[in-house]
Amino acid sequence: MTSEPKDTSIESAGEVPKSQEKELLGSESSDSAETSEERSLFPVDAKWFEAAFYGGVLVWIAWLLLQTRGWSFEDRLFPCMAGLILMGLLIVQLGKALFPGLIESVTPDLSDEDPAFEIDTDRGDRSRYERQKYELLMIGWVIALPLLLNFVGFILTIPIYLFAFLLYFLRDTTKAAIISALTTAAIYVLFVVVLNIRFPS
Amino acid sequence: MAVAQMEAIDIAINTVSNPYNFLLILAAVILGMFMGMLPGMGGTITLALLIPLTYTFEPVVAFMVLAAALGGTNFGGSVSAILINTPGSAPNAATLLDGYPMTRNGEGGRAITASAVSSAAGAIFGLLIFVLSLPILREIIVLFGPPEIFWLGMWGLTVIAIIIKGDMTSGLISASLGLIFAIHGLNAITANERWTYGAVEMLDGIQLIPALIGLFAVAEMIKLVSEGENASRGNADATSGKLQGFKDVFANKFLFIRSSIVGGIIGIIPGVGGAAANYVAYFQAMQTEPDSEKFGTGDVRGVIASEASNDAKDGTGLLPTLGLGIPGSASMAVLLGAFILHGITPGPMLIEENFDIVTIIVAALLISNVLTSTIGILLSDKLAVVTRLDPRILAPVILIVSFFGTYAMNNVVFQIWVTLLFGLLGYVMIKLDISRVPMILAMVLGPIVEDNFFRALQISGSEYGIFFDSYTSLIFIALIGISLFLPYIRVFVRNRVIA
Repeated sequence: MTSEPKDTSIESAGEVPKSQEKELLGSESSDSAETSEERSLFPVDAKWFEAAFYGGVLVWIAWLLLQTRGWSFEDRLFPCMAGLILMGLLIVQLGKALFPGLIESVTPDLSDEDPAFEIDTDRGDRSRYERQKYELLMIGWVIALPLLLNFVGFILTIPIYLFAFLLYFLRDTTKAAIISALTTAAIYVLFVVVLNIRFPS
Repeated sequence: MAVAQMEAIDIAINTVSNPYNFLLILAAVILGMFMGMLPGMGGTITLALLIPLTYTFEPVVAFMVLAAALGGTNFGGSVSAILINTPGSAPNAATLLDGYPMTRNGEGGRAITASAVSSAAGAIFGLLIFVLSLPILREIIVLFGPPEIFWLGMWGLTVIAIIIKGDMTSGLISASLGLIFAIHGLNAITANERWTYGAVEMLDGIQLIPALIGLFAVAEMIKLVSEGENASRGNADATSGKLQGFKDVFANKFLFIRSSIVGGIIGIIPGVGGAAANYVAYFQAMQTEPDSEKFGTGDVRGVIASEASNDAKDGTGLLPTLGLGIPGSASMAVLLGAFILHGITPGPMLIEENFDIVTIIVAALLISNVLTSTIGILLSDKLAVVTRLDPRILAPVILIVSFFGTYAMNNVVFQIWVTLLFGLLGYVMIKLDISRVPMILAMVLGPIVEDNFFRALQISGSEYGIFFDSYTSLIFIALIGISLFLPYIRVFVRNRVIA
C-alpha cells in the first residue's frame, strides 16, 4: 500500500500549493528544496529510460533490416545504409547512457555552442516529482484524444474532450463549459463550414 | 525579362490584389502573430498547422497564405520576448536581452515599435537580396543534374545533423531515423513496397505533415502543461514610447544595415537557422557600436540588431530553400514539405518551372511584413494579453486543432495515429535532448537523395563515375568532408586555447 495522499483537492490538478507538495513528496522533503527537486516519481534511474529508448529503437531497426532480405538492390541499398549507420549510432548512444564517460571522450561536446534551431527553456517552477506526474497525466490526455476521435466521432469529441480536460485541470465548470462551447463552434465553422471537410461520425 | 516571368509577376499582382486573397493574407498575418507570441510555437508549428488547412487551396494561394503567416510569426515572437522575457521561438532569443529590460524600464512600447519597424525593413532588405540574386541563381541551376542534387542533399543532411544543438551522435540519430521513416511505403523508382506492415495506408509512406504536427505541436503541448510554464510573470507595460521606437530605427540606420547584411548572409547558409542570425547580429552590434556597456541593460540598439537580422535571414533563406531545395531553417524545411504536398519538387527546377509561386511568396512576405508592423505598432498593448494564456487552456485547443488538421489533410483516420506516435516520439526526444529538426529535414531530403542517386545511375548505365564527374559534385563532396570534421576541429582549437 502506498502512503501517498489522494489527489482530490481543486488545486491538485493545477497549481499545487506548497503544503500539498510537501505531502506529495513525503516527509523527507519537508526541509530541503534540493531533495524535492531530486525526488523522482519513478523507482529507476533516468539512464534506464534512455537505454530503453535506444535499445528499443535498436531492436526495431534490426527487425526492419531483417525484412530487407529478398528485396532488390534498388529497394535495399538506402534502407540498409541508413539502418546500419543508425544501428551503429544507437549502440554508441546506448553505451553513453549505460557507461557515461567511456564513449563521450571520442565524440565532440557541442553543448556550449549556440543551438541553431531550438533553445532550451527553463523547467518552470515545478519540482521534478511534479513535472513527472504532469508528464504522465498529459501523455494520458494526449492518447485519449485519438481514442475518442476514433470511437466517439470527430465532432462530438471536441466538446467532450475540451470540457473534460478543462474541468480536470481548471476545476471550474463554468469556465470549462464556456471555453468548450466557443472552441467547438470555432472549430466546426473553420473545418466543416469554411473548409467543407466531412468528418467520420 | 522573359515572357514567362512577366506572366508570373502578373499572376502574383492579380492574386494579392484580389480582395478575398488580401483578407486571407490579413488573417494569416494575424494568426502568425498570435502563434508567434505563444512560447514554443513560432513559424515551424504555425506552418505545420496551416499546411493541412491550405491543402485544398490552389498552390499559388496556399503559398501566399503560408508566406504571410511566416512573416507574422517573426514579429509575434519578438513581442513575447520583449514583454515577458520569453521568446516565442529561437530566432527571437537575442531580442529579449535588451527588449525585456526596456519593458522593465517602462519602454515596452518603444521596444515593440522598434522591433516592428526593424523587422519589416529587415525583411524587405532580405527579399531585395533574394530578388537581385535570382539571375545568378538561374545560372547555377543548370549546373545541377541528378548526381549533383544527390550530393547536395547529402551535404544538407550532413550539415544539418551536425550543427544542431547537443552532441553529434544524437543529431545523426535523429537524421538517420528520419531517413528510415522516409523509406517507408512504395519506392518511387521500383514501385515496390517497403516496410508497409501490411497496412494499405502505409503504401503512401509516413506522411510529413502528421509527423511534423506530432513532433512539434503535440510534443510541445505535453511539455508546456507538464512544466506548468506560465508566460505572464513579467511586467507587460506596452503603452509608452511608440513614436520614439519608430525614430530609433532611422537614427541607427547603419546598425540596421549591418545587422540586415549579417542576417542575410546567415540566411543563405543551409541549416544555420535563425538563432545564430540574431545572436551574431547582436554581438556584432556590441562590438561595433559606441557605449557597448549599455547593451543588455535596455538599449534599443540590441532590439534593432536582433530583429533586423532575424527577418533579413528569411528573405535570403528563400535562396537555398527555393533555388536549391536545401532549407535554411526549420520553418523553411516545413515550407519545403508544403511544396512536396502540392506536388511541386523543391530544388533547382522550382524557380524554372514555378516562378509564379516564387513571385507570390516574395509578394506575400513583403505585404505581410508591412501589415505585421502596422498591426504591431497599433495593437502592441493589446497583444500582450495573448502571452498570458494559461497553458492548460491552450493545450487542449492546440491538440484538437492538430489532430483535426492531420485528418483534414487527406481524410484518412490513420493519420491521427501517426500524429500520436510522432507526438510521443517528439516528447521522448525533448526529454533525451535530441533535436527533432534533423529528423524532419531527413524526411524531406531522404527521398530526394535516394531518387536522384538511382536516376543518376540510370543516366550513366550504372556507372558510379557519374557522381564524381563534375566540379559541382566535387565541391559538395569537399563540403561534406569539411562539415563532418568541423566539430572535431572546433573542439581541438578550443582545447588548445584553454590549454
